[in-house]
Amino acid sequence: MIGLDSVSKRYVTPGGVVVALDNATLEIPSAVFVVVLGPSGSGKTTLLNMIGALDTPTEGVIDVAGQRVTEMSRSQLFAFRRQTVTFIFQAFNLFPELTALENVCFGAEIAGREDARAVAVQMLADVDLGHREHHFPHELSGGEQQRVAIARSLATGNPVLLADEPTGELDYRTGVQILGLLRARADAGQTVVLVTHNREIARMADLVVELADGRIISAGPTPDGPADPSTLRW
Amino acid sequence: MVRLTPRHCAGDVVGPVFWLRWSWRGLRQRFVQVIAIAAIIALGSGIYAGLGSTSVWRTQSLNVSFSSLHAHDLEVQPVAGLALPTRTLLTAVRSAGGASLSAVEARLVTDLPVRAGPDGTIPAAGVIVGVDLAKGVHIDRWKVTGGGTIGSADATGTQVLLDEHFAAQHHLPPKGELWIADVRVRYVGTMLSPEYLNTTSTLGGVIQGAATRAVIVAPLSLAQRLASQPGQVNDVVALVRHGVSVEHVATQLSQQLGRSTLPIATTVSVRRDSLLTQSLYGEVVSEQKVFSVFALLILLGAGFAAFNLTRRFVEAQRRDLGIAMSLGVPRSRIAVRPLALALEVAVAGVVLGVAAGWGIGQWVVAILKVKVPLPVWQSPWQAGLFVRAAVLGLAIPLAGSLYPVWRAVRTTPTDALIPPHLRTRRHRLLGLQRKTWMPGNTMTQAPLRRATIAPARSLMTILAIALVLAPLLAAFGATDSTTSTIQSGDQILSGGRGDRLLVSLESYQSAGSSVVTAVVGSKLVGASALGLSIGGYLIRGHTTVDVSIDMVDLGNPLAVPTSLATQRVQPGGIVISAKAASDLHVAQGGRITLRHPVAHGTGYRFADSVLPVRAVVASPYSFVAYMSLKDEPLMGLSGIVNTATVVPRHDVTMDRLQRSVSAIPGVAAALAASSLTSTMRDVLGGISNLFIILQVVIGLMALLVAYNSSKIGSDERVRENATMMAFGTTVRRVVLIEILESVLLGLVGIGLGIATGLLVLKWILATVFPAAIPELAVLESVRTTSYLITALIGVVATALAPLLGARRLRAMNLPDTLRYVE
Ligand SMILES: Nc1ncnc2c1ncn2[C@@H]1O[C@H](COP(=O)(O)OP(=O)(O)OP(=O)(O)O)[C@@H](O)[C@H]1O
Ligand SMILES: [Mg+2]
Repeated sequence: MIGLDSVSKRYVTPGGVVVALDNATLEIPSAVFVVVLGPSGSGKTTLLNMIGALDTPTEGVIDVAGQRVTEMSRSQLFAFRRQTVTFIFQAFNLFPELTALENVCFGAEIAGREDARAVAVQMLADVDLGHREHHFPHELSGGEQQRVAIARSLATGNPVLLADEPTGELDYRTGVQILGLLRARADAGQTVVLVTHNREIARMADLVVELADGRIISAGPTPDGPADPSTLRW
Repeated sequence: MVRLTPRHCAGDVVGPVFWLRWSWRGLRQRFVQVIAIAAIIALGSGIYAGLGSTSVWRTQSLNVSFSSLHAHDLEVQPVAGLALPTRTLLTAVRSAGGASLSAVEARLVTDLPVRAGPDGTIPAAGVIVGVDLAKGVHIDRWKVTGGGTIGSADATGTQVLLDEHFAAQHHLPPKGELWIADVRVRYVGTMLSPEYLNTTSTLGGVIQGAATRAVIVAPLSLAQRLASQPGQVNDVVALVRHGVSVEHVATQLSQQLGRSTLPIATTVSVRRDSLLTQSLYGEVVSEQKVFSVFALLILLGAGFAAFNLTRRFVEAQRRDLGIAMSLGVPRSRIAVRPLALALEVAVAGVVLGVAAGWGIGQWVVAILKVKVPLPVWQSPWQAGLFVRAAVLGLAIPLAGSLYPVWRAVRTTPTDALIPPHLRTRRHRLLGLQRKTWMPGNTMTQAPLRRATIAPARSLMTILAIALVLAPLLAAFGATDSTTSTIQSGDQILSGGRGDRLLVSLESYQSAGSSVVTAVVGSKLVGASALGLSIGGYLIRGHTTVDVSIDMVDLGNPLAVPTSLATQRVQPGGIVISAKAASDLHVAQGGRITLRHPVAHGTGYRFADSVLPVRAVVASPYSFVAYMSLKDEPLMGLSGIVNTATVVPRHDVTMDRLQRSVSAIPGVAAALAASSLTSTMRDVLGGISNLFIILQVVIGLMALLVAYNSSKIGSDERVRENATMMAFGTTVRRVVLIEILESVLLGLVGIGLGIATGLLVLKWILATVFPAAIPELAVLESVRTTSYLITALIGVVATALAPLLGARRLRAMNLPDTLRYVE
């Protein structure tokens, strides 16, 4: 489903070359829940951006859902982002002029779903924000904004879901609820790649990838199989 | 690139050097925008300085032109253009003036038909100024503008000089031949005379413009021969000795001459007080009024736009303000960066403004030099105006940058942190927006939502566009209105039926005189109407209107507009123009006082008669008036005429008739009515030409304002646009949304701008124009194309910026833009 072959990303800055990702090779099958672990600055977001075609690697090739992302044309890239992947950003990136419901609607519409509004209402209810449909982002708490961002991505229904610290702002109970939603997506056939520095969350993954200093230091299935989100403790 | 090294952080973190470095780093990033905002200030202050200087330049140039060419102080003329032997007149003036006069020269000034151009195809009303070249001309000298000049060697020759105004109108070469009363002469150069700087004048009752009046300087003997008045002169000009009062000398001269033994009465006039001189200076002042109104309007628009843009520019950094406030940075320090930014804009604005002012000034001068040719043109740098414009250029950005700081430091840091384009969160409209249903999906709604989310901010953008477009439409409207007014005036001048030849006679003639018989009895003439053209004043209450009364057969469509000819107007009254009627608040059937000349001995005196207004003709010119020839006794005259209107027989061409009538001795001018239509264009031409500058500058400014506001807008939206693109929205789509948003605001701005422009136009036509050109009723008229061009400039300007931004969007670094946690 997702394949990385010797992917590197280097930034040339006046202060020297920053190697954000170093020769990463990785194979992720479809319909799995992957957790990418690693300390701050280890290259997790960089990896996610590369898979989601927001960024191009300095070296290496990337395949997603049978398409070679690294060789796509401009318009192919845009179509890829609309129909194949979807993002939950670390910085939320909600549209400030749109209400919660409309932000979610946007996700459904851009992916070309016909029953966009109904899907959006459902997704917002799933993240427990049914009562906040008509609130603007600046009228929502950080955690609520994060949940709207999650609902927006879920609403696309795209096969690859990329989540950057989706539970960062959430309390335990809400966090578990969200993770349960993502787990259900993986079970339903979507590929979920979740970035976190929280080892506990890694327990519910099918596959765990660990990064340090831009290098993949380990990648493999969870030893005891994926745990149920409700059993997580943090 | 400037980087903060630990060295700077180690010391005083909030020291001035640190803040300056910070600001400097900002400038490098925002360079283009700083320049773009500065350019608006520059254009505004440039036009203010450039257009504001015309009256100073023109007044000074007129003064210098008069003094350097020794324009006469006094002029003595025997009444009714009668001539006297040179020695008789000169001696009388010399002895009457005594030591008060430093120089006296005699001349013969006659009106004669002139033909110029290849084969004499351009007919004109000639003014032949015969000067004594043998003695040398020291008074009313001329400035040669092309070719050579004439001097003492030409005293008995046939070489003349031609007026530059006329030559330029017809693109005549600096040397060539022309015919004066059918006599061929050579002109060896073109010249400007301080006596004939007015582009319009009345001659034989007909208004002449630069295109139909040809002033010719000729040797005295030639002029005397052409006028059949050998050894005679009819005009003496004099210079008054330094330090002696001109008015005093004029009175003394006039008394002395009255007591002299001269066989004919004379009039003494002071040039400085003459109507011609006054109107020269008056025109300068009144035209300046029109320009000043527009210059101020543009400055206002530019000032508002610059203030608004600087404000938004600074607000875009509100995060820095909010963070600084949360960290407890003192207010004075918080203001440093916005102030530094404003200073950059201000300095760039002033520097560019001086350049723009100079450039626009040069352009203005170039147009004026063609439109108002003067012997000497001076356009000194108007430091005062520039300083005023520069002060404004400095103040506006400073105010624009301090305003958001002042607002921010009065709120809480959390409020300061809210993005400026969302700062209306407590606004009722937002509540409205979340409930109102909008058509389409989130994507199609985006432009409207973006435009309405912060109404106050959108309103500012709309106002900025409107304020720039309003003077543009007003300028277009002013041009359109004058053009259409002139056209309607043309129709009245040229009459409803075919073309007519307007013949002016050299002097008053009895209807049966040989000249009149020769004209109307010519075999080439089909029909004719005689008339007496005479100047007078209409008076009612405190209002006085100058009129040129055509005393004609009021039932003859040759002599009066067709609409009047069919009205069977009875004698014993007067017909006035619609403009005069409205100025005097009088209607048909009302009564009005006419101050008119009455023949008295060898001269005239003025008398007042109260007359009924018999009819009102739809003429925009206040000076148009008609009376019946039967009313001549009122003027103490009977059977006296000085004009004739004739049409060629059906098989005769206008040109042939014109040539034939011009050759009749005693005819001063014979011109086709259609050739006179350019005259009023000359009157207003100067103004309309300078409007082109306004249109270009405003067009540029509209583009700059739209570019800036839309650039700032899309900078504020950079994250949203990045997010849309992360979800696969194409660049084209994002650009389309931005264009739609921009155009949406633009359209409202255009509508408001056009509405405001129309109001401004109405105001200008109601107050400024009547003061500038009192004799013309300019009717409001705006062409559809003017509306379209204004709207088009607005649309192009608003749509252009997002289009230009497309490249930036395409090159945007998505991960970097999205990573940033706000
Ligand atoms: N545009 C850039 N220029 C230079 N260096 C960059 C750039 N973007 C990222 N980096 C560097 O690349 C490295 C990896 O960044 P990345 O955002 O992937 O980290 P992360 O693992 O997501 O960290 P966190 O958990 O803090 O979000 C970091 O050291 C970062 O400083
Ligand atoms: Mg990260």
